[in-house]
Amino acid sequence: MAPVGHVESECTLQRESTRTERCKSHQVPNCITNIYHLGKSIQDDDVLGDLPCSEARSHSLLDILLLSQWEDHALKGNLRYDVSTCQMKIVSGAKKFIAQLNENWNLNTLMDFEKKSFQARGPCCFSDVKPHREDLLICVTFGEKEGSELVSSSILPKDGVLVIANANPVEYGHIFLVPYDVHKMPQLLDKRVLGLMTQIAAEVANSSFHIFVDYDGSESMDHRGFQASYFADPLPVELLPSIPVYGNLLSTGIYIGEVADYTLKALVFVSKNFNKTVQVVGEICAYLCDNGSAFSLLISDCGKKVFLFPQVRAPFRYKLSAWECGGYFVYDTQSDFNHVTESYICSLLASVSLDAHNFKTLKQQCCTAVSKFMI
Amino acid sequence: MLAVLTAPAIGRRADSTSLSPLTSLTELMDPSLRLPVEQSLAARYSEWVAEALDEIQGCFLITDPGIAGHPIVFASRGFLAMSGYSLEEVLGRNGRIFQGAATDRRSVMEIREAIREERTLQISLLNYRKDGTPHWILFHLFPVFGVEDGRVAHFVAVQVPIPRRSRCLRSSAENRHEGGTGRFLVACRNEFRSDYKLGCNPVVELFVDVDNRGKLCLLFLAIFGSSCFLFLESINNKFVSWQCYQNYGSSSTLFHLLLVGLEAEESRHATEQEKEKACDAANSILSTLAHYSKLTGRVISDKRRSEAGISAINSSLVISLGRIKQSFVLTDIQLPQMPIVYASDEFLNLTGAQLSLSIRTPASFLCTISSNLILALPACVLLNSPHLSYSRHEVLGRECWFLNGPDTDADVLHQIRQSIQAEHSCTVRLLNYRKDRSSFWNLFHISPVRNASGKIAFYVSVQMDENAKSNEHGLSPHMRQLGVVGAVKVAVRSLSMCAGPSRR
Repeated sequence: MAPVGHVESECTLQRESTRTERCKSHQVPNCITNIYHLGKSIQDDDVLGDLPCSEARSHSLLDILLLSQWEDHALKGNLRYDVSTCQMKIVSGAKKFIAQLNENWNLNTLMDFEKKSFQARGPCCFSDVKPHREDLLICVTFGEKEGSELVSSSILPKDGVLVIANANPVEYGHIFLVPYDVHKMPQLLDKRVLGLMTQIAAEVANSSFHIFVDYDGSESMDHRGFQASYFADPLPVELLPSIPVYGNLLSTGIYIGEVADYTLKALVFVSKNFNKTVQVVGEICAYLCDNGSAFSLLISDCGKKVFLFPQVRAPFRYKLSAWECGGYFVYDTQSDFNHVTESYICSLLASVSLDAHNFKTLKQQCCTAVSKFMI
Repeated sequence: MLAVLTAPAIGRRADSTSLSPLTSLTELMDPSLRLPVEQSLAARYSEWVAEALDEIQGCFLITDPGIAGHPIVFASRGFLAMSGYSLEEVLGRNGRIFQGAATDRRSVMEIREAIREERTLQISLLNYRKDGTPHWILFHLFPVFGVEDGRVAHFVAVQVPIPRRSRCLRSSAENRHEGGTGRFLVACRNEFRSDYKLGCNPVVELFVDVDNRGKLCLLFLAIFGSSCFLFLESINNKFVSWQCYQNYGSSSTLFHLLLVGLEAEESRHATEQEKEKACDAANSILSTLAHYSKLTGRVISDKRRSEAGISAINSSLVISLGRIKQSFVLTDIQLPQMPIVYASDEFLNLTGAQLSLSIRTPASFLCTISSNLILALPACVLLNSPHLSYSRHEVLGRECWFLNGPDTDADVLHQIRQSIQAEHSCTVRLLNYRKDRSSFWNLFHISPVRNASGKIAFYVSVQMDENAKSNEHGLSPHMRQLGVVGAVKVAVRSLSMCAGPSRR
């Protein structure tokens, strides 16, 4: 665990100018924490296995680590509120959307984090990590050994993923996963980072654990890290069937489908070999980024499923976060919570959805992307 | 093929819970409970209720779930006459003293569940009188709720005897409809024949799957002049084992013994008349209690007024909890005796005897018994009695403090209770006792767990034997405990669990 550090106030804008000087030495951020080294076997392994996240299997080490660090963090009073006191309900209707009443939550808290967070303009250095020291739970990095390993109380490696607790959680275990590298500029959605996130999901091996990322399409956006959280029940979108767009698991090893009967047009990528998924999803994300389109990603089912929610980017339109795209909505007033209806949610989802034409183009792009990797 | 074991101690007896009531009556009521037990009815229904209840015909007991151990606070005259006990022998004891070896464990569990869920239950049950004779009763249980606080004030258990309606005599050759039973007897006979030829003195262990239908009830042991004895040991609901010690006496004597000694009877069903009788008695008792409760102002009713919304442990939660490979229990604190509603396998192992090495045979290992082939037994090692480890049904429903003992520090217990009151978690180190009464230092962590409604549904407590701790995979024991808490919190927050949230 990170020692308690002095939390600096936000705004790293003025530091940006002096950043290049200070980071010239490419110094590793001077922070002590527990480091989880991902084993090589899971990095190279082609096949995740035939069984879905098996209910009979016991919790993995990384899973226990995240849960325990989170619980410990909460017990020390570092979270603003206990999210498990927030009431949840299923919104009546066929889709079974989930609503949560959380009077302490507001969207601004997420933006505050981003302001404190790393600027995506230069390699990481100590000043970037410092604001997060209090909430830093662990660090995950690629390891050298076959199996995964937990090393307690070491200094941060030169690259990896910082796991930072979200003091305003949406659900139990809500964390930020912030990739960093002292030598390079971090690319938000390149394949390497996507691959790392998928590996983390696979390593946690808990079907309640979901990883998300939102990209709002603008060039000037802050570096928005990945987030993850434990949802006790599957998100509504995960329960829906899909219409095949490409492939099937048996022959091509990767399946792309369109989520059926959902007012937000979405795609799902399924594969047991997450390298394949990462390649394809990475391509599509790059395509969307190039076009300045906004989207959200949801990695679920221990890394075997990735949902892509392309969204229409409009300047003042309410943009949905990945869990909202997945069907989980947080309300901060009792009346909103009481009066939410399925039809309201459906119309909200529809308002950010791509239209049919653009969605079709996207699907075609997916097929092109996949065929590049199918030999 | 025989499984021949080197004998464990001869004369080892089955645990008292399976051989009661012949053995366990020497214990009296815990003196600290005497006052609450005696006051239990009077406090709510006034001094005159006992007399009024005595006027009611029929056999019934009243128990108070608010007192530790859920003791009996009233027994009707009819009940005492039927069971052969005196009032002093029954007051302050728990209802399980009337159960015995052949009482169906499933029925016992149903009763426990009904108590936990605070609902009415009517079930046939085999009970035992003071002299050890078993008898079938229709057991009708119902809760009585305090109108003001919505909590259960008392449970009433009405018993209506179910007489035997036809004799069930059997002989091994004739009786086939009991399935396993008939086969077992045949097998036994061959067993001992061949045994006898060997001319040695083996201990033979016979495993028979008695299935749902065969329940073997040991009525008495007749010993025909050879030093043989036979006792019944239950490993779980399905497997019943006998250990037969055979001297160089004649095997035919033993064979004879078995035929006489065993009688199988699955269950007895009550007639409509008997059920009506039970309901009538229940109604009289209820109206008497309701009437007298008005005298004290602490009015009762048979319906709970408030929506308590108890979170039941449903099967999906059990599956999620089953993934957590650590010792922990879930406690339901909404019931006053704070019963355990879930216990992990590791908890059962941790609190069992230190040397217990009972390796349970998997359910798939069944013996097929034909008339010649006796047993197909892989070696099954039972070094110590398997009953030295708590079984799940011995733990479920039990109050969460049962691991404590004479040397457990009262201050530490107080600290735990205070944390529960304050709805906080706490970590302490306290002395706990295993089933064999050996003690160990328990690194104990307890934490409230909320369900999807945001309210506390359970408390999870995680136990760790101080001696057994180690930094496994770089994770400290305390961190592992917190990991358990986290996993439980995620599981319990599932919407499939919650009875309460509004659906609009």
